[in-house]
Amino acid sequence: MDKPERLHRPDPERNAPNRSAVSFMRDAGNGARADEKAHANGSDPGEDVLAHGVKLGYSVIDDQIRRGERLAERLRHGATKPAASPSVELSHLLERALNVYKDMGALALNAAEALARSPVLHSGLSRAWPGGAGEEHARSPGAGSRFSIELDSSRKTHVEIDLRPTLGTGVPLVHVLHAVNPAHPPLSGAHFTLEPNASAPVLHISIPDAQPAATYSGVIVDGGTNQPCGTLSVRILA
Amino acid sequence: MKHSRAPSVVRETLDEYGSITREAMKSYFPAGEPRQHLYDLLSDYPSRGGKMMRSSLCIATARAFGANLEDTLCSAVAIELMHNALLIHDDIEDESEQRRDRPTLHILHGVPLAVNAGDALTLLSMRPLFDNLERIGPRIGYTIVRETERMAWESTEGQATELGWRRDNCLGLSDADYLVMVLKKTCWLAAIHPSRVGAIIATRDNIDLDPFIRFGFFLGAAFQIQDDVLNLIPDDDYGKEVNGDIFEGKRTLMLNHVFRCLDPRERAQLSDLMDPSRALRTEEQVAWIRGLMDDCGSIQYARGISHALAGAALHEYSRIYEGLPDSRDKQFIEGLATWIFHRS
Repeated sequence: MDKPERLHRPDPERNAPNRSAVSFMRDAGNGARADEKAHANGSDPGEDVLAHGVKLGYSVIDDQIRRGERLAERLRHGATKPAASPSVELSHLLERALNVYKDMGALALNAAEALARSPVLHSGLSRAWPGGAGEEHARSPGAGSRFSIELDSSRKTHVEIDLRPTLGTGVPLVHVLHAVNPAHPPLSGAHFTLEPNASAPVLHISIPDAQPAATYSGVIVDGGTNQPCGTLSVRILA
Repeated sequence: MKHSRAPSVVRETLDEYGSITREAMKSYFPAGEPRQHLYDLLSDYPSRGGKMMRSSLCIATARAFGANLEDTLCSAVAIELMHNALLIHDDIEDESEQRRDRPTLHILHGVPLAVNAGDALTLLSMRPLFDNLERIGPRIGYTIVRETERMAWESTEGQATELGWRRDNCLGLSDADYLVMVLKKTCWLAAIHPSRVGAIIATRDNIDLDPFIRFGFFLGAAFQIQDDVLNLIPDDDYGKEVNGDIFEGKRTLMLNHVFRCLDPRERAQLSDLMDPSRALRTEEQVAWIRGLMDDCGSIQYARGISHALAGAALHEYSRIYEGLPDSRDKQFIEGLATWIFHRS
């Protein structure tokens, strides 16, 4: 009698773990319609989707990057289009260079002003130069912001002052104050004095009777360095 | 990098950078009047939390390239303010009812005030960019302003495309159509812009920025598709209404896939349901569409695409960051590609 054939398990479909992303998916419906199509094609729907996703993604983004590059190129050409004549183009270039120079100059001034106003720098310098120089610095009106105002006016007058401490040792100077209306004469009667026995400088403002009612504004500078250290605004009421 | 660790380093980094950015953001909210009609509205969405992924990506990219956190903070705050501004407008345009587990701003205060608050938050997002000019210098600060302008335009174009599809009842859209829309509407703000800005700050704009477009696109698109999937099969912490995208008629990868799978009669039926001139879609109609997605395997399909794009993101990540010293920030960025599937 023949021995019956030994039963054995069929060979496994795979001999390595299935790392396909599809295996991570939770069961969300059996996708019957999709499976029908895929099995009709004889393909693995999971792998097809992954390959399609990667290919599609690169196709989309590379196309978008190329479009962006073409647009940037067009914009660059537009911005650097040659002018009607060489002299006009040269004039444009000079104007642009001048604007850059002015901007850099303004930036440098802003940086210097910020440094000059730094309290850390103030205390460092006063430690670095003790004695005579320091004392002068302490006496100078520029070192602090206390002062008195002496107003000589027959009309109601508002005064606004913004004065910042400076490293300079000069008495603050008030430049002529101007109104918006060019027809109004400037106001030149504002000045600081340092009285011998006074602890702080005195700002004298003298308003002529005939001065038109308006707001007059101007810059205050340090008398020693001519660096701006504040603003003064005088509003004369009618 | 062990992917099993990915969610924890991502969560920790999001927590840390998120709370630093939130704290810095607070100083930008004005405290004056009108509070009840404007300033309280501005701080509403930012105070509701959120993942802070965008700002964290900006900070992490900058630090991975060697910058310090302080130099990046203004840009990170600007990104979050802009993101919240767009969320306010998005919720109005989508007629959404919930955001981060609470009623949307226009449900609470009405559409006119919400629109105005969105406008104000957009303006407010410029202030940190001006502060940048002092912190990191005018040249780099200006470059970041230009980058922000570009990102805003891309987002606007993407939103217009999506809204236009809904208004015009466009169906039969291809996967490529969807991805171009998502690139503009989502990926620029979510991933491309934050990583470009981080790289600009750290390298003083001495780096090729195009690879960040690829990386950010793959990461952002995977993120968005997964977001769309979560809307249909939510986790416990999902903060928006389930199936809300179907109610809104949003043209997701799943909806487009369903349309392609249907026979002509069903296509006509779906097209009729999606017509915006109809009254609101009923629960039964939404359930029918949802059932079609199951029958056609659309959710599985979308997940597959999302996984594929996440894989491509990891490939692009290695091309950009491979040469940098190993750091927690590098691990965070790499981890994002897998975190988007585990986040909750």
